[in-house]
Amino acid sequence: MIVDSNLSFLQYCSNDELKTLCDTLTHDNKGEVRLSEQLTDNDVYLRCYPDNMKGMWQEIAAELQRFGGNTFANIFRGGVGASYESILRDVCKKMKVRIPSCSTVEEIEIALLTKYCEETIGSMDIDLLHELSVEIGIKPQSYNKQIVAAAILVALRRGGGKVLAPVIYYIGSNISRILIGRGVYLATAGVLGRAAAALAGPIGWALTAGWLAFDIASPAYRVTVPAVIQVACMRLKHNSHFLTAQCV
Amino acid sequence: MHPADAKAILALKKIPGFNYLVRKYMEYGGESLYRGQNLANHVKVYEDNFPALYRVFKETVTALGIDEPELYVYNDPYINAYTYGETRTFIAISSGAVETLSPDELKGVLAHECGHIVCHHTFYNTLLYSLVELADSFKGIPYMLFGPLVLALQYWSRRSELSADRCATSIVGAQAYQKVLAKLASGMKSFKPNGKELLNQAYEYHDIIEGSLWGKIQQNCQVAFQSHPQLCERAYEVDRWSKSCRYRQSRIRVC
Repeated sequence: MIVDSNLSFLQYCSNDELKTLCDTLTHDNKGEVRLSEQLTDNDVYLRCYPDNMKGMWQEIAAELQRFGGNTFANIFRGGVGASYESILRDVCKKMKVRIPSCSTVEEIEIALLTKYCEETIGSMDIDLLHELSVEIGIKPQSYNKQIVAAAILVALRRGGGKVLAPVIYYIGSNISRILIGRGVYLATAGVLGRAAAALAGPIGWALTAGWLAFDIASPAYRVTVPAVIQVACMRLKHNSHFLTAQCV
Repeated sequence: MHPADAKAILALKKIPGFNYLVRKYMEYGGESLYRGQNLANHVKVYEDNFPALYRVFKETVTALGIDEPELYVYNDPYINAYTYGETRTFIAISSGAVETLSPDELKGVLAHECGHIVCHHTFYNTLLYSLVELADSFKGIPYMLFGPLVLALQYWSRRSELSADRCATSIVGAQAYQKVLAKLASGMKSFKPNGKELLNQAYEYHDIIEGSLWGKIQQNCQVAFQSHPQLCERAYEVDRWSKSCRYRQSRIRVC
């Protein structure tokens, strides 16, 4: 793995979060193992998956870097992939997220998550939008979907990370959960997955619709886009915990 | 399921019309051909005629939670077993295996075959073995016709064995299954393996493969037409699996 300070926070993430990220890298949305992944036959994976994911955070990071790098370039780099920042910028370019060239990784991730949330909010129904607006401290005066959605979007753009965090936590109890839902669906081939989808309900459907906007054709992006979103969510959560701990 | 097996199945499925071909083959007698052969020449196992073997078989099937397939014993001094069929699966075990192996070792062999059923390997296995048998009967003509397909199926088959080995290891434990593999290699009833013989050989074998490109080519050519990986490779993979989290979980479930 390339020593990448932008991914070193992974070692402090929870087992579930790392497992979700790992599943995103190794399995597709039908639950089938990805032909190009190199993680599941790794000795460390065998030892750590699924209970001790912290023990393999470096392998997960390396796999993400490999997926993000060009295959031939990876060979010339001696089997290691691209840096996380270049993968993130690449994903943003693909997703048409505009970012200034001097932005930090955190700022780029916020921009990406904001775009993701915008897509999701656009497909939520009015009741959910009302709940969400109350959650982030906006009192909706209207019952018009467009107006409420616009109010949330304005708050999202102005508030940045401060508003984004509760929005992400609210929408389907954050993106990780919908990814885990997909993971559960993969692992159990049906019954549990359907139950999870039913539990997720309209929020889940809205999230999936938002997700689909990102689910693009290119095989490499099918891996890096959800993985980068997952990493961005994990960092957001990690940073908010870190800040809370510092304030206390 | 071993990831290499899952990937090989995915690759097979990507061959246009392949699944259709296998399904049609099964529909038009691929499955009944072997069932007829079993009923005609092998002995079906019941509680009355092979009580000890049936008990071991029943324990294995119960531990795995699958529907009981038919079990047959056939006359062959070599230690061997196989399983075919999609809708009506069966396992056939050689008389050599029944007479040479201890109940625990037999359980390992039967769990391995049940592993093929659990992973739905029998769907592709039946076609592979039919092609290989045809090749034996007609002296290589089917190999000329279906060469790439046979090679692809053999490649997958070698990986599918690793999944079945994982299943067996989860049922009988890694050490017991390593002993089964050592017994398979020696074929001797009196041999008391410690379970590490093949594993140690595997490290030496890897030295040959990784030592030079020529060594790698030689060893890969040697297995290209085989349906099973080398026994020491299997022992090595069983050892890797025995260190995994999921192995420990499955052992807790079984024990």
